[in-house]
Amino acid sequence: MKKGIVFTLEALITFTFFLVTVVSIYVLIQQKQNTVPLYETVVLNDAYQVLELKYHTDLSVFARTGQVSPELRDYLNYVKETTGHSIFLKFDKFAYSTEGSNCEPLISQKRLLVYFDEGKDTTKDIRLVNYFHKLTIGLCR
Amino acid sequence: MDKLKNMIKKSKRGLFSVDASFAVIIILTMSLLFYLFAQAISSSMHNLDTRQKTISLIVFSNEIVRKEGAYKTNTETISNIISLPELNSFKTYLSKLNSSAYGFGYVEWKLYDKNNSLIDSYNKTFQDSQHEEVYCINRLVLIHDSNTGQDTEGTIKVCIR
Repeated sequence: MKKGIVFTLEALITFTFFLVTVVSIYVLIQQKQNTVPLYETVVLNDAYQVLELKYHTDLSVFARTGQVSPELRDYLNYVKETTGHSIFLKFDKFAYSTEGSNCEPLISQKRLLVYFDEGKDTTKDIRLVNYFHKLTIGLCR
Repeated sequence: MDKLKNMIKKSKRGLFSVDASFAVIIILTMSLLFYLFAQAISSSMHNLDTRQKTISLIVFSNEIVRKEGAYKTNTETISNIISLPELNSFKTYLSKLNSSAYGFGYVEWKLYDKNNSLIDSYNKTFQDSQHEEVYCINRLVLIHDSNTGQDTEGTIKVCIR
């Protein structure tokens, strides 16, 4: 009778430790999450900031016609050489990337691009003129 | 006859009892689990440290490339435009510090123009931290020339340890 009680207590303590260990590990194990790539996001934000400050006209020309000016092309190549990341631009049916057609998007953002849309100026109605456009900019893998 | 019965009984007992075998298995399993537990904690601490250093580096580099000002209710942010006088001012600020607010042991930056020519550099050691990893980030900027008023493209490489 006594032996049985001693065995039960020992087993209970052992199993308690065992369970505590298992539960602790289960709670503390970190699930793999798709974290935001910090450096890449910073590179993308910096690149768009510089593009807006220095190449705003080139961007609006791209959004209107799909043409990428040599200056803009040079700068995107410079970004690729400096940071190792290729940038792609997309606006409606127009797309451009320093990787050409081999660009597989890693991250992308929709950024507000403000310019006067000449194509809709024929109405002469200021309320119908579209100033705000969404340009997609991103990094290739 | 009794001696023979006792011998048979003894031979049936075996080297270990069931309880002892069970206890050994549980101890071994717990040892393994504790080992995995310690490994997981160590790995998590390393990941957290890396993440914290990375974020601190980004915030520190933001101090260099971003300027925010406010006058009454009007606020202005000048981002990704730097100038040599501004960098010199930041150097003066850093040179007066005995320790880094971010806990860095060493900070360094190098400013390159579009042709990869070094324009400006700075480094400061706050404390000996040779054994720690170095984290670097390239920030794309425009370099403002106050004489000509022109902005030219460049990159500032910021490193910390």
